[in-house]
This record gives sequence, C-alpha cells and structure tokens, in this order.
Amino acid sequence: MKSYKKYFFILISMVLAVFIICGGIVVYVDPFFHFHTPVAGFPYIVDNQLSQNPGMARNMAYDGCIIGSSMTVNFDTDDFKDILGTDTVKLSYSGAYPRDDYNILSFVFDKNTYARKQKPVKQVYFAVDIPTMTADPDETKYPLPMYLYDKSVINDVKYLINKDVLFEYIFRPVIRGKGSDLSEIYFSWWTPEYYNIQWVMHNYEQPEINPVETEKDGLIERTELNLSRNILPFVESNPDTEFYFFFPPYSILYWNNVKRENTFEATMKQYRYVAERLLGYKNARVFYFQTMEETLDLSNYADYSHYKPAINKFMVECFKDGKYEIKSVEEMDKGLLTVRKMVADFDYADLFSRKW
Amino acid sequence: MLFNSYEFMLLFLPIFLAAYLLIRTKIKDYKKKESLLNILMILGSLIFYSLFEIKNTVILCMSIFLNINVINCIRLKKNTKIWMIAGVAVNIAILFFFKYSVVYAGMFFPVAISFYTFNQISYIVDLYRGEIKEYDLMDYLIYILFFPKILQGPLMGFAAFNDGLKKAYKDDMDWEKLMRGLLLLSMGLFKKVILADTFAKAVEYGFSAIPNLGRMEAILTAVFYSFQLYFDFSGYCDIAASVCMMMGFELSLNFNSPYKAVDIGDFWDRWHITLTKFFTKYVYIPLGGSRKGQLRTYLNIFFIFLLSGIWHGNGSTFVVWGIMHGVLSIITRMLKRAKKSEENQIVAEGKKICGTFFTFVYVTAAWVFFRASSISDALLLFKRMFVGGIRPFYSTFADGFNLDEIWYVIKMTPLMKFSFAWDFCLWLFLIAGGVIIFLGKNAVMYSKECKINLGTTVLTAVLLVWSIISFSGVSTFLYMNF
Repeated sequence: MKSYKKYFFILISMVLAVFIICGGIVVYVDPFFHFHTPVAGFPYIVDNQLSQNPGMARNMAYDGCIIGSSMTVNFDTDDFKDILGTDTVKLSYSGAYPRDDYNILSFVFDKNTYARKQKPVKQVYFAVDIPTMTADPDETKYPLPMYLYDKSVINDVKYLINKDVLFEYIFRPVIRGKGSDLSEIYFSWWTPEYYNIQWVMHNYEQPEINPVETEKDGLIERTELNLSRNILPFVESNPDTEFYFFFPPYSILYWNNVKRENTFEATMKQYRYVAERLLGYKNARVFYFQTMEETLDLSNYADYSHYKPAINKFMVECFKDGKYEIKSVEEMDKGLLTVRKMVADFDYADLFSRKW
Repeated sequence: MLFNSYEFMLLFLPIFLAAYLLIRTKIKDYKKKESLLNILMILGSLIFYSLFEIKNTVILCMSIFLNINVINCIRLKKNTKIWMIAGVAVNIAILFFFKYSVVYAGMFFPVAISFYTFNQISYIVDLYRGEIKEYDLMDYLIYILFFPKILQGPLMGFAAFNDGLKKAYKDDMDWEKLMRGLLLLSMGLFKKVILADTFAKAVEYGFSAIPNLGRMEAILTAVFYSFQLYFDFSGYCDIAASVCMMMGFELSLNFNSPYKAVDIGDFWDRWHITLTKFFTKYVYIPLGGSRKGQLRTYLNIFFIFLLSGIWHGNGSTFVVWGIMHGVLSIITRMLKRAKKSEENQIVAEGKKICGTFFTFVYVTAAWVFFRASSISDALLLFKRMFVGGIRPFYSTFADGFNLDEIWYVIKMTPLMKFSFAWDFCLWLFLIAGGVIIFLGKNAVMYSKECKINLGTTVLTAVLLVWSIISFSGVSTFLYMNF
C-alpha cells in the first residue's frame, strides 16, 4: 500500500510540475498580452483577432486605434504614423457586429490599463458597416474566449495550460525566429492579383430577389439601439478623443445586393440617420467614401465589398486632408444623391450579360 | 459540466474526491458518515449537472418529482401494476415529447434526458417487481443524479449500484484503487481528447463534403467515424468508471473491446453493454424473448433494434441503422442454429478473423447511416467509395491529424523529404487507433490488472498532461476571406 501512496504523490508532483512550467512560460511570454506588455525581442505572432485584440488594447502603448470589420484589416498603421502622426494599433474584428466594437472599445477606454496610463487615446478610426447596424445589439459575430475578456483570474487557466498557446504562439515563433510586423497584422490573404473584375464576378452570386420592400424606417429601430448602446456612449464620455467615423466604399455590386434584397430606400435612410446622429457630436468626424469613383471599377475589389489596400491608404490621406468628409446632414444628402445617380447610371445588365 | 473541461478536471473532481475520501476515512460513526456522504453525492451531482443551462435542471427536477409520486403510489401496494405502467408510459411520453419537439418545434433537448429517463423506468419497474427491497429517498436521488453516470450512463440497475456504493462507504482509504483509477482516468481522457476529437475533424470534413470525396477519403471517413464513436463513448465511460474506482466501487462495464467481436451478436454483447441489458430485461423478455417460438424470437429481436434506432435519434437514418442491425442479428441467429458441426482449430481461428473483419465492416457501414444527415447522403458516401477515384487527400481532411506536438517532431526528421510526410500523421493515427481497437486490452481491464510501477505512473502523468493541455484550443476564425 505504501508504494501506491508513493506513486500517487510522484504522479501528482509530475503533473503539477509540468503545469507550473507551462503556466510559467505562458505568463512570461504572454503571447496574447493578457498580463503584461510584450517582452522585448520576442518574435510575437499576432494573427488572432478574438484572442489578441483585448490584450493589445490593454497592454500596448498607442494613442490611436482602428476599430471595425474586415474593411479595416488592410490598413497599414505605418501610414497613420507617417500621415497623421498617431501611434495606432489595429483592433479589427472580421465581420464585426457593433457589440464587438463595444467590447474592444471598453478595453481601449479602460483607465486602469497600462495603455491608458501611458497615453490618452487621441483618435479612434471607426469603420461603420451599415449592414451590421441591424445586428442584435448584444450579439458578437463569433463566440469569444471569455477568459481573455472577463476579470476572473480562475478561468485564466484556459490560457495558461493551453497546448495551442504553447505550440502556436510560443514555440513556433521561437523556432521561426520571426514574428509579425505589427503594422500589417490581420492583412487579408488576397494578394494583388486577386483584385480584378474576373475574380470578383466569377465568385459573385446575386442574392434572391425579395418581392417585399422593407419600409423606409424599417432599419432605424435596430440601428438606433446599436448606436445608443454600443457606439455613442464612448463618444459622449470621451470628449477629448476625436472619432473618425467612416462609411467604407463598398463596390457598386453592393448596391445590386441592396436592390435585390429590396432595402434600397431603407438603407439610404439608415445611412442618413447614422450620419445625422454622429454629426451631433463635436468630437466626431464623418467620412462618406461610398461616392468614390473607384467603387464603379470592380478591379479595385476582391469581392463585392472588399477593396484593395491602396484604397485604405487613400482613406488615411482623406482623414488628413478632409476629402470625402461630411460636415452636415445636407452634405450627407448630397452624397446619397450622388450614390443614387451612380447606381441608376451603372449598366448592371451589361455586367451580368458577360461571361466571367 | 463536461468531463473534458478544466472546471471538472482541475476543480470539481479534486475537491469532490478529497471531500469524499476525507469524510469516508475520518468519520467513524457509520450512520453519520452515510448521511454526510449522501449529501455530498447529491450536492456534488446537482452542481455538476446545473452547470449546463439551468432549464435542464428544472426539467430534471420535474422528472424526479413526478417519479417520486409514482414510486409512492407503487409503495401503497394498491393497483401497483397500473401505477407502474402509468409511470413507464409517462416517462416514455416525456422522452418522446422532447425528442420530437426538437425536430418539429425547434425546442431544446434536455441534457441526458434519455439516460435519466431510462434510469427512472428501471427504478419503477424494479420496485414493482420487488427487486428493490426498501425505498429510500436519498438512495433514489443518488441513483438518478450520480454525476459520473448521469450524462451517458452506464445504465445500471438500482440494486447493483446501491450495493456497490454502500459497500464503498465502509472502506478505508485505498491508495491502490486511487492509482488505478487515475490510470483509467488518463486513458479515458486520452481516448476522448486526443483520439476521438482528432478523428472527429476528418469525419466532420468527410461528411460535409461527400460529393467531393475521393475513394480513399470516403472509405476512411467511414472507418474514422467508427473509431471516433468508439473512442468518444468508451473514453467517456472509462472516465466515469475511473471516478467510481477512485471512490472505491465499480460501475457496470459498458464497452468490452467491441470491434473484436466475431459476429453481430458478439458485438452487442460488447458495445454499450448496459443498454443491451436494459432492452433485454425491460423489453425483449417481457415481449416473450426466445420462449415463444422462432418467428416470435426474430420479431422480438427486430423490434428491439428498431426501438434502439428510434431511441438513438430522430429521422429515417437511425431507423435504417436499427434495421441493419436487426436484420443481421436475425440472419446470424439463423445461421448459428443451422450449423453446429465441429471444426478444427485453424478453421475456427480463420473464421474468427473473417468474422471480426466482416462484423467491423458491416457495423461501420451501419454507422454511416447513423452519422449521415440523410439516407441519400449515406448512399452517396458509399458510392464515392467506388467512383471517387484515386487522388491525394484534401488538406482539410488530413491536416486535423497534424497535431503540433507530433508534426513538429516529424518536420525535424528526414521524413519530410518524402511527399507522404504530409499524410504521415493520418496513417499514424489510423494504425495507432487500429492497434488499440483490435489488439489492445480493454482499458478497464488493463487498469485493474496492470502492475503499478514508475513506468505506469509516468504513462499516467503523460496522458493526463497531454489531454488536459489539449482541452482548450485557441478560437480561430471560420471566416476565411479575411
């Protein structure tokens, strides 16, 4: 019986020892920046928005941040430094719902973090995706690894004793000896040759035609809920931060979707409503890129909405010089009128009659 | 709470076991000890179950309340048969209501309702038959709620369960059982977390991309599903058994190396043994079993498998699965009756090997219906086995096997010079799985019989650590465009 007791304690000691070593390595390197700032010289791999954004928001030094969906992943933060002079961190969530924006902004504006103790947030560059403004205000696009989002210490064990964290984010970068370029993290996999009309049209599928038109005010209620719950509270409580809200330039095919789904007028109203609400704040600037001529040329896109990186750089320049900025509801109406004309004049029949 | 979770392995189980063993060894007055242990069992089990959505617990409590009333009516000794039948009928009705409301009304399906409903039925019938000598509320509650078996069984009769538990209450601290239990726990976790979940990735891909599968992918999808199902379910049962072993008693054996079976009857004596026993005791024998002539016996067998198919899931695929097993069981029984001649040993051995091979192939084919979302999908998978053509594996099919801890080692070896290196892990898992299934000793038997020494201690530690650090992956995007 004594030997069984001995083996029992040997077993427990071995298991605990391995867990302590694993946990110790994870705490020291902290590949998700959950506990502390990056260790100097460690080649961090940053490729996981769900797991790494909260840590970056809390434990990196920055005074500007990029918030939004896949419409923001091709921003190069070096452009923000060069053109606008801000140290910007990219906190994109592909397919982000407004609740995802709320979650990450809560970390950004948390005064008790290392990031905020270093610098206040001067600018937030926020992509407003109109289609997602009708999402459930409490729903995130993907289930979140809550152990990285809540304040519980106990569930951090899921991070500390985690094979993927050890192998993918600690051992792999050590073996490779090369980490991610933080200015280009989360870049899309589409290489330049994918941005062409052949590729776009080959993969494009028109949505089913909805015979019932959505009422003009049909999208406003949900949009208002998302604005008031997930976005505007940050604008109101941080008057010293400048918010650059921008409507990304989806391609002309996006409007084909809107028309077939029979939400054209409702979407127009929704754009106007959001702009009007945002323009009510002194610390908010609004940019409407939908009127860009480039939206008519599908060779600027890899699908109906995702534009090439050069357009991201162009938008940064616009943030600097105010091009495409909307300063009043009247200007927004003018922009919407321009879009109406662009949609009306575009020869969809010709586009769809060709073989791709 | 799931067995393969940090909460269970690092918090619930150590605390529960420590409290159980402490009370059992430190308190000498048996009555007091029994009361405290009973309370611990019920409380622990309720916590374990309540960590699923609370509405599950509400349904469970309603089931318990209803059955306590039925039990009390049976105990009054008046119209006992009517109360027994009414109790069984209501339990079955509730089970069917939830099973079919999921399909037709989109309602939720309470966790483990199939298993605890069968336990309720078993208790009521055994009480009616006088197999339960004395009703005790605490004992009944522990029988229904006991956390190691509430989710997936095994389906034990009350008397065997209660006798074993009460005997264990009297035991002193037993380090040997603790160590053997930990060894079994590590093997169960390994089967579930490392083997079953790895096979599951290829299976998931295979069944979602049937029209695109090559010949070999289609065959392996079916084989991997057989492996996954066995490792998953038997791994769970091993963990349940290991917890009980550490507590000092034994749960009924549920899996006894089932793919070693030489015919379909043998298979059902080895696969989900307690379900087979349940159906035999409460359905097959009351229907007349084999006592009412050959035709009736075959009909009874067929009915049992049909019922088993319906119990396992909604839809025609499960019915086909049940029919396939029923038909082969009847044919096998007919053949066994017809042939009683003596055979020399070599022929007998050869027949055994052929029988094992044929049974595995047939059971695997039946599992395809069990897993496929429709009969046409299942048939298409079979078709792809013949017309899919020979081509390299899709990376999605093979990549799931490239676990970092193995893949990194392979990358450092000369194997990487060869093109087959990319699929090496897939074949490694197939061979390892096959060896464990067809040649390995049953995990429960092994844990009981093996010599505990430094080697087995290190093996236990490695399997435990490997499984536990694999619990939580890192959530990644399924959204491939960006």
